[in-house]
Amino acid sequence: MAKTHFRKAQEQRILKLTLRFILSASLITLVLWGFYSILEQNYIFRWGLALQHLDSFNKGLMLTLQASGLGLVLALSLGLIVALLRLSPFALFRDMGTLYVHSLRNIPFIVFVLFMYFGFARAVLPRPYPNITLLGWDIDDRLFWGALALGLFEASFMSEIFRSGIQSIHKTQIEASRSLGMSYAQSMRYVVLPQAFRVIIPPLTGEIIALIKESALLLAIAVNELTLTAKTISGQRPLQFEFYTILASYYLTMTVPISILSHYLEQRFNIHRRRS
Amino acid sequence: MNSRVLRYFLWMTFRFTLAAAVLITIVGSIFWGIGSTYSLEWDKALKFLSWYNKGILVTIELFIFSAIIALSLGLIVALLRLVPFAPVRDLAGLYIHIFRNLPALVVLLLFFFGLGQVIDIQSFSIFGRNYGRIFIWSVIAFGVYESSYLAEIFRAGIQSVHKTQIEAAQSLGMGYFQTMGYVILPQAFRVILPPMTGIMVALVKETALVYLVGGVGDLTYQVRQLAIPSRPYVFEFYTILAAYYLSIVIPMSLLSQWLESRLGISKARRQVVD
Repeated sequence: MAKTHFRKAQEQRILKLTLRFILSASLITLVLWGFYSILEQNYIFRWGLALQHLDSFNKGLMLTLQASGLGLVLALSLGLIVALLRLSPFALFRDMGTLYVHSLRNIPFIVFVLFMYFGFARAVLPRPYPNITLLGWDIDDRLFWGALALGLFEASFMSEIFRSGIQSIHKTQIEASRSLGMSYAQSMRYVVLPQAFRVIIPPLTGEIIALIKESALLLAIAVNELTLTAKTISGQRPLQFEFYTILASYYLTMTVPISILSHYLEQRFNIHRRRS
Repeated sequence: MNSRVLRYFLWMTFRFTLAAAVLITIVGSIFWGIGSTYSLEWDKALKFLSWYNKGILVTIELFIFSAIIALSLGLIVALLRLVPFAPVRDLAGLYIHIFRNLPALVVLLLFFFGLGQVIDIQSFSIFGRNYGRIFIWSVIAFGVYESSYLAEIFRAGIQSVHKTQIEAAQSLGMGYFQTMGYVILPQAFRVILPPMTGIMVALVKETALVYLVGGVGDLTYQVRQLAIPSRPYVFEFYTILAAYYLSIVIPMSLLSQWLESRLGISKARRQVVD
């Protein structure tokens, strides 16, 4: 009896969801189509021509991924270091961390990129500029500085996330592990960080999305990533609307899966909800 | 001012000066240790401060206009997100997810080069000031971009107000807009305000991107004009630029933090009473 009731409820739920999906999809299609047809009265869309340039977009995508990957590794490691600095018992270290975080968080990323590349790498460093090779991978000089700027900048955001995660672990946890004879590093590694991870995950994925989005600004220093590719080829052919729409869809295919994953993890790791 | 506050202030100033000195020494010795011949000439770079002062006004103008658009659009989308008819909610959700997951620069390019080709706006005058194409489209683009963040904040704020409040207001005979205007939004404001100032900070920072589509004479654009080979004080120029942004943004961040702690306390108190 109870089982059939449950099944009935589930069937109803599925029916409701399907109906909602169909209605939503048709409304969204209607709105987008209306918008598109208004635009079409004033502009001739030539998607076929624009889609011929997908190869250059894919090349750009590779550079975007390289820059964000390098930047992410740097941001995560440096972010953790800065977070630990900000939690250190020495006021000097804490203040250094605070200065680092606040001075980077409060300037636009584009300003930081311009500062790092034109203000620093091109002006201050002595010539000739060395080639950088990492594990057999030849990193272009612009890509290197772009990724470095990305990593340093995002580290300030990551460190705040790490710090709040570590602080969310009750102090008694550290005291307990220290009284068991663990060192500072051990208690961090085995007790605090695994627990903090749960709190950190949702904001961290958000920050990874922000990092990918910020990599678009590396076009200011002529790293040939997605956005610059779109800008360059839209100079060759007057199909700007199409090119930028393709550009937007490239970014969405990178960021939307992460944001869905973030949503899933948030529900999965939501401690308060599971307790109640 | 009593002496304890003064002493605390002096002590903090000392601490941060020391920390800054140590940080600058470490970074400087790493980088200048490589063997640079660059010499700092602050006095020559500081002669161009009037360029920055002109730029900061345009940045603030950009910020105010896009904030107005972002706030109003954000509220509309948030209310659409709470409509009882699910397809409309999903439509608003699509809007939010698309703009949240795109880089601000891509949104700007899409609006300026995409829509800007189709919809012909040449100029716009308000309060006796005239604004050109680039200004209008960048304000719209940043407004739309940030409205997707604001919509989520507004929605969370409105949902944080207990349902019984709506029911009570409606049982008193208030209409939808009256309920929203007099009962829900004033209470939601407390939850909304701290994250909203955070978004406003992000908006100020976004206005720096305008120079990439041509520029309207905002701070970053001015410095891009300044930094030509005959004025080789690039390091100084960009440092001053960063300082200018810090001078607008840090007060806003502090305000946000203060509001968060201030409103957070009263919220906690309310929960205790509950």
